[in-house]
Amino acid sequence: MTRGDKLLLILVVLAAICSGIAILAHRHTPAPAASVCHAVVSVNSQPVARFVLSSGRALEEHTIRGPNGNAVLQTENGRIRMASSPCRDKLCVKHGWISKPGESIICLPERIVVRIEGQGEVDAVTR
Amino acid sequence: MIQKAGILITVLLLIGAGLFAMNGKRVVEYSSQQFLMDTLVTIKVYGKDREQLRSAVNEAFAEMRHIAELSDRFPKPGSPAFLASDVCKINQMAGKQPVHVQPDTLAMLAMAQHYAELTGGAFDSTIGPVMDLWSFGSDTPSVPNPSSVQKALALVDWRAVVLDQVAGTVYLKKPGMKLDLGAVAKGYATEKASRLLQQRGIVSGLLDAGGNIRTIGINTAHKPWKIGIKDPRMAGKLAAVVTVQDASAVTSGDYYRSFEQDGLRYHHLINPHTGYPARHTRSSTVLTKDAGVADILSTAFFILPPDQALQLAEKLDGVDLVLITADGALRYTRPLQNRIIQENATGQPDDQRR
Amino acid sequence: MRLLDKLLSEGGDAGQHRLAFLALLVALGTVLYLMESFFVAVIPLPGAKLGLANIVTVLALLTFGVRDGLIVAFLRVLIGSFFSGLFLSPGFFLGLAGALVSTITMALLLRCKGVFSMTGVSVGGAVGHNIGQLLMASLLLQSSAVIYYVPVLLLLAIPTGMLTGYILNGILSTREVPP
Repeated sequence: MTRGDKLLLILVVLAAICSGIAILAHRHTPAPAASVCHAVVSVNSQPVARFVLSSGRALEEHTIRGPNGNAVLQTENGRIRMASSPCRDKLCVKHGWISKPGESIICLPERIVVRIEGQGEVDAVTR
Repeated sequence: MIQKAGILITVLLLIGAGLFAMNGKRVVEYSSQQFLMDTLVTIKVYGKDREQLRSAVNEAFAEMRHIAELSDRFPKPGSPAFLASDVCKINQMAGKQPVHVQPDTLAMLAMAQHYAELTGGAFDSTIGPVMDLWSFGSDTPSVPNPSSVQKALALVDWRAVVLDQVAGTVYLKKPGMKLDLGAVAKGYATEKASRLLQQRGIVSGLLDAGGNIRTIGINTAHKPWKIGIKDPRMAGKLAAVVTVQDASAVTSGDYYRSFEQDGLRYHHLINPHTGYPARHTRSSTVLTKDAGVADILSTAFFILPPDQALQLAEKLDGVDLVLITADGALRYTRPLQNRIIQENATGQPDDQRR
Repeated sequence: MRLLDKLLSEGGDAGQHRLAFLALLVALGTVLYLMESFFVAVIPLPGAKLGLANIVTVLALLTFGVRDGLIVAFLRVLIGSFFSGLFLSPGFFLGLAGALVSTITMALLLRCKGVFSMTGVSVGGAVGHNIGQLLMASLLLQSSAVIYYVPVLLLLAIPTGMLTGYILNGILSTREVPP
């Protein structure tokens, strides 16, 4: 190895250490705000509405017409839920808020599906 | 001369590259949803020709609808749906005469009989009379009185189902017996649909029949599919995440079709030996190739005591089991150690449970 | 340099010799490039490679110069991608960016005559390769998250570069050339 070689090696190691330190120091800065999600509502497999879910947004109500009456969806601060539904078991209402891509609320009796667009952390959920 | 040859080779290479680029069309996703078998069925497939994907998925839905019709148990007698349902016909002729049925019905029952024997009757397709008593599908489900449960239990006996593979007939020996293929049909239909998709050349896809998952091949990221197992007590939370490759994941949980009476929760997973909901387990997830087998076994392993269920699952080839027991513990068969990629703490023990 | 001298001094048309030697280097580079893609699974880091294909790039640079070095690097990535079926895939662009940046880096290091041995040149090439790949990756992914890889890939360039440098020193000091 020549002197030049050794100098080069030292430079590379130094560069690696410096960039490592820089990255570690930067890691503590807060992550950028989560991107905006969209919730798609479909009735009987037909999409009927699409809502923007962004953080900091005030509560809004949306009425969805199902086969047995009106269901009410609420969006607020980047999340969405079924506030009321004409169905019997109210499983959809009990499901509560969803906010992450890939999550969904399903109301079988009313054939309403609310799904947040995007790839979730898993490909599917067995339940 | 050599330079000319070099130019020629370069031109040929570029033409080849162009052809290659045109052939390498982008992989597209085609997904479609339908309400079938009292649940939402989603089929998602990947391939290069959207039109081909669409027609294959439609065929798969048609196949599932066919199985749904064969096993439908609650159409009005005499209606077209009743006449299309093999299960209705078999139940109507219980104790009277064998009924000629479709090959799919025979196949479902043969599978049901095999696993009824294997699980010592923890799974029993003749649970119909007891299920009717509990009437989970009705507006006002309630706990039936013990004497009527005992009476109905006398009619639950998988050994009294007579299959004649040659004649293609099914016969229930005792009058009043009723088949209920609720724990078979959805899985069987999912498996048939997935095989049809594979025959149509689809190498990557995912079928989700109300949480009965069947995956085809690997996903578009060329990795095994990541399947979450629902936390039985917390909505929207996962109890675990497992990898699944070209196989199924089916769960039976106590949180569906349940009702509360006198502070106790009653669910639809009835133990065929007692006539009452099984209490050791909150949810049982079976991972195995065939979605039909997974459907049956997830029910059977829910009914069996956890130790026995895990023991039996480990004995079966290519079958894995994840249990969330009544005390909130997550237990699974040993080969799963490398496939569970995430394990979340589950909830507290239920205090309302025995 | 005996091997190269011998190859080049064997009479005949110098142009033909050049073309034949370049073709040989491209073929060799392609094979090394493909061979390496089998090793990728061994190193548990995406994008990490041994960089054996850099050997032929250095040989091209030494014998013919920057222009032919770049041509050899480009052709071996192109042809390699045909064989691996990754043509125009993200992997192809990553490989291309890596190969070109590494070739330019090594050409610059070779310019400084006598300062660097083959070890230094190879390490520089490996660093260039990894940096080029990362730049392309951040471009393709539209994300700066790949900078987390910078220190890892920089450190990794040292052993891989030293290995190729060792091999190169071996090749260039060959005294006996079989007839």
